[in-house]
Amino acid sequence: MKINTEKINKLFQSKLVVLNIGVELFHDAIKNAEGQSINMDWRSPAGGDKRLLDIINKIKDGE
Amino acid sequence: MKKHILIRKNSYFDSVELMRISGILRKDEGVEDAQLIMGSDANKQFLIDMGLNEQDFSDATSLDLIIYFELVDSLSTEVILEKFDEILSLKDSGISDEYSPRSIEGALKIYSDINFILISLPGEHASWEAKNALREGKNVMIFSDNVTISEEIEIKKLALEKGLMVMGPDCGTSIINEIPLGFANKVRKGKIGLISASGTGLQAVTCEIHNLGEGISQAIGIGGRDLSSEVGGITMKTAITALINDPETEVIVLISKPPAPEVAEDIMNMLKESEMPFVLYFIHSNLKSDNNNVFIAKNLSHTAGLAVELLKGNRDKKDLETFNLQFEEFDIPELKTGKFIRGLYTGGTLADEAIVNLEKSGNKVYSNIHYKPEYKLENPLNSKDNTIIDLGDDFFTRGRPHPMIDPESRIEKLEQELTDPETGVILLDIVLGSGSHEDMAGALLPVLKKEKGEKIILAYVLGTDLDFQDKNMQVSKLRDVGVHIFESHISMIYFANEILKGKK
Repeated sequence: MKINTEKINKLFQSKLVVLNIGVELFHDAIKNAEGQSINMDWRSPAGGDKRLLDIINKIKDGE
Repeated sequence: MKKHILIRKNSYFDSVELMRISGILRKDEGVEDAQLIMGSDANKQFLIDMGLNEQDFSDATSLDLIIYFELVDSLSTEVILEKFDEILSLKDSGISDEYSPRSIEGALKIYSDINFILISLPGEHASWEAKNALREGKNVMIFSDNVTISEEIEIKKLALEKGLMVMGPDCGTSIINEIPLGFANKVRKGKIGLISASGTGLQAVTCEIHNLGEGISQAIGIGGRDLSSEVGGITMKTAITALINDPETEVIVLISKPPAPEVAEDIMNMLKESEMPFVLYFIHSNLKSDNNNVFIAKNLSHTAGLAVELLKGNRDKKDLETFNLQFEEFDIPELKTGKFIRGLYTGGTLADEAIVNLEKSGNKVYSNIHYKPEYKLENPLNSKDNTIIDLGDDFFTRGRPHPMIDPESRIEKLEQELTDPETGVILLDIVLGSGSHEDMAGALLPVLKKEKGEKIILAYVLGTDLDFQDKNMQVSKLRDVGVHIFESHISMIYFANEILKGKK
């Protein structure tokens, strides 16, 4: 498969704006380094119900 | 003493935060032990290994919080749970001015300029959110290390299809557009681009490039499994293409353990087709290259030095690949007690580099991460002959934060080595930068001060003058208690080896 990096090269030319999901220490570290980060208050989608997650995934993949 | 186990269903907290709170609660009077952990399989095994009854928590999932306390009889769980909730509410009140979205879709509706997603959730949830991020057209870094290889392949193929990049899983370090992500250092902007399957390897080389006066364009972590035959180097190949196409990059550095042979061949073919100069450091590999634009490095310092020379326009392949590094001039001290080297590392690649280079000089080396099974320590707590310990290995990190964040496991091991009559030389890595402890030198000082001139202690300080820990201060704290400081890891190993040889 041909590798298209147009979107990645565009990222390299932009100001980085991070969405941090998980360990909050990393969100703080980005901000301390004068970077821009938004910390997500993560909750499992579908309350962690795997059957429901599979259904949501199938719907998303069909988009 | 009474043991209590409680479960809070569907109550996610990040592991670093839980370990921090567990640490606070353990200091309370009447609390013999406190473990707050999510109910992942690995964490449940940790509790079983602690001797707890599996039935008490077998129903917990990785989304449920398991609370374990061992308390004096007079202390009730209510009191200690109140304190736990109080710590959490104090933390929440501190960030109340920031809106925290609860889903990627929700976040993008409010912050439409988000262009990168950093994920450090437990494995299966990391995969789910990574796919969500890619569907939204965002590049992703996955810090989490417990994503299955089939999920990794699925995620990376999706990224390839969408023209995006997935750094990781198990990607501990990256620097994108000058912003350190995970464990990474603040370095000067420049023209050297790096791609690495090793976190501390990437940290060491970016810092040395900075310390040599040059800078980096991007430092891209790819995770430990990307170059396996199953994954096929999808991220490595994407990153190479992106850096070749990047107008800011003039030299590209690749760092990894040896890739699967077919992946190595693919990559070498890619490099051959490019005009760009490349530096390759494949640890444990005897790789050679006839390509005029591909230069093979011998160690991390050599990798940085080669990249800087190439940037300056030097293309003398023979000279560049064979030049010996200039080490700082030191008087070699004599061993007073013991005759073995004991390395207490927080960075796995540094530990690896120590093993390989001490062995090259004819030393027998044991380790908890040794690449040869016959030299792998049965019990990492018992050193044997020359021993190199990677404290970031699972044995030391179950139920506690990584040793770059929390110095406790190293302090315990250091105390042991200081009293071991066989120990002559102690090696330390002090890794500065984002994500790491704010004052590692200060944290080690109380135990280092116990040393009365018997052992020779060497430390490699990995960092730059731009790191928030104040590198000069870290260095002087260590020097004040007699520690020998090194700016490059290989020079510390060279020095340690000279001490063993008994040279003046």
